[in-house]
Amino acid sequence: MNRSAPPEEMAHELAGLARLRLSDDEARSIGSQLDTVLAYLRCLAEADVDGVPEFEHESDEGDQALRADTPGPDGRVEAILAGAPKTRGSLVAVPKFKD
Amino acid sequence: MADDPTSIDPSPRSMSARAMAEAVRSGERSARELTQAYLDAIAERDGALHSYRLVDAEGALARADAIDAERSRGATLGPLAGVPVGLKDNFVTADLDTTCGSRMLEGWRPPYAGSHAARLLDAGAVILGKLAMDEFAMGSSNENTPFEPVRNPWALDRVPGGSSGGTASAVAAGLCALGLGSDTGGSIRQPASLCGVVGLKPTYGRVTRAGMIAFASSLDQAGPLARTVEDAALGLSVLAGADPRDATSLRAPVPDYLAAVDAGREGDLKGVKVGVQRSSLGEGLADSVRARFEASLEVLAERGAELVDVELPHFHLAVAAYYVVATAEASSNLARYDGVRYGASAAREDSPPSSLVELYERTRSTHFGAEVKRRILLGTFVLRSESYADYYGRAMKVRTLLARDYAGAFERCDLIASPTSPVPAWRLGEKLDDPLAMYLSDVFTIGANLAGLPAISIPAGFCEPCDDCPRLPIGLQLTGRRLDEATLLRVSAAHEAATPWAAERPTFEGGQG
Repeated sequence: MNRSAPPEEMAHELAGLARLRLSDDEARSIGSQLDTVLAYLRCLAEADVDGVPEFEHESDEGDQALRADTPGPDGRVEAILAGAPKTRGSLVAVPKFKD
Repeated sequence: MADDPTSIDPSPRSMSARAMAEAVRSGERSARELTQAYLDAIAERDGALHSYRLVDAEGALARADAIDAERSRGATLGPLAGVPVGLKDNFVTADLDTTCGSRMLEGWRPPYAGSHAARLLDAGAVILGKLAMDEFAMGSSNENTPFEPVRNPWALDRVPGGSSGGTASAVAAGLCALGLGSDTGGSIRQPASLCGVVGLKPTYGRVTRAGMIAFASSLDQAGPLARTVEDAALGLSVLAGADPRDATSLRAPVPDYLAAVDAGREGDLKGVKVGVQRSSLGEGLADSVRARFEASLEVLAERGAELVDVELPHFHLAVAAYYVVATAEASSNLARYDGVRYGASAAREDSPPSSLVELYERTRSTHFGAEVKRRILLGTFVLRSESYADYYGRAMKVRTLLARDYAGAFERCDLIASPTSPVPAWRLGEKLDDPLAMYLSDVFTIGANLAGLPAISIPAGFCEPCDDCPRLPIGLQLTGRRLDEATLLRVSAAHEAATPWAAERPTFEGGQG
């Protein structure tokens, strides 16, 4: 990502990656707001993080917290599919994604 | 309506949730009577506040009747027997729409019950409805919404805070006896502070996340909002504990939180060390908030607590670290709203998309609001391979440093006191076009989320009214050691017992709390 790209261009580029489409007006306003926020976030650079690991929550369980990995019927297929906009039989239908 | 608890037939709404449950268990009150009183109050007063997204009068009364019938049969009723509660609309409910404050989920009826609703119902609670919130819990004012923004019952032209603003407003106005909120960067505590109620964010993992719609999974926690510390403790005791549906929920035993409240109310605070980080009380802190904070410290000291200075050297980087981590996780979590499986979808429109990418883009562009888009884009930026090390990776290391800062401070004190919000409630619209100003208002609350620590906001009084500002509530925040909610509750109860704030109710045009 080119941080020196105009904010509007950066917003369009990020939107493409995030599967969003922005109008030019939206890109202008969101782009300039992102620019302000990113400028603020640069303060992170002042921290000395040499040798510091990325954060992890303490856990008193380890892997014991995981339930047994045994597959079984769910019994809610109909209820789950009821929320889908398009279905075919017990499957969710989508538009073509490959020519 | 009489709100005076000493009158002969006080409104049931003036009782604490704990007293309500006791009255229902003993047969002194019926669950139907309590539920009806709240439904009437909502019908009369919520038109001015918009705290509810959905009121389920029929379901609530049926549930209340079922509890009354159980009692007639001689069944043992739970700790929230007949207590009318409201749930923030990001908690999944099987029989009620769950919109998460977004057009994306408008009309969505979840195919399963979330663990929070299930635990509250198991304890005997009556769910009145779903409470309004910032879209996908992203916001500090409840203005990030495609619906009517929630108003603050202490001043209707002011925000209630966010993102659990609907819950805080409803609890303050007496439109539910106990409220459920979620807190990713202060979303329980900041609205509790702005609305003059108690809000508790538990230790990460103390309460399950199963059935709470994800925003930033390493920061999100559910917790209670209530008028009193005792009721917050009661709510936590029902919600806390391991859940097989959430592998990050902690199995540590759940202490007797109500006993901690009793100890705080009745005993002194001798031996309790309260840390204060003086360097954090600088620029941006309103004079009224500073004054109430100092007064609260005096209250704690008078009760026997020892005040000690502490320093969190990386505190000033917390807002930046938070907005990197939270937006990164949000951009990933919200990828699931693709128009394919549930929720809003461009596939339902008259001219359906001709490709899968078009389905994604049209669905997401139309149904997400501006703040959600901003955060998804920011999260997308910080997770890109070329910015990952400088932003996400670095923020996660700063998070470690901040957690170490807290650990160091807790060698010298038992909890850390601070204001909850640097300012009292601001006017609707005041910060809406300035996201960074809005983000900076979270300065005191986000540290607890980044470090996974429990924190509570309790009423600390009111600002002196002046020309351009009415009398508004101000909150005190206490942050505790991991899994030490009991100390927070004990000290909070001591503060509450020594101050008159918990008894104050808002009066607003269209209603009285």
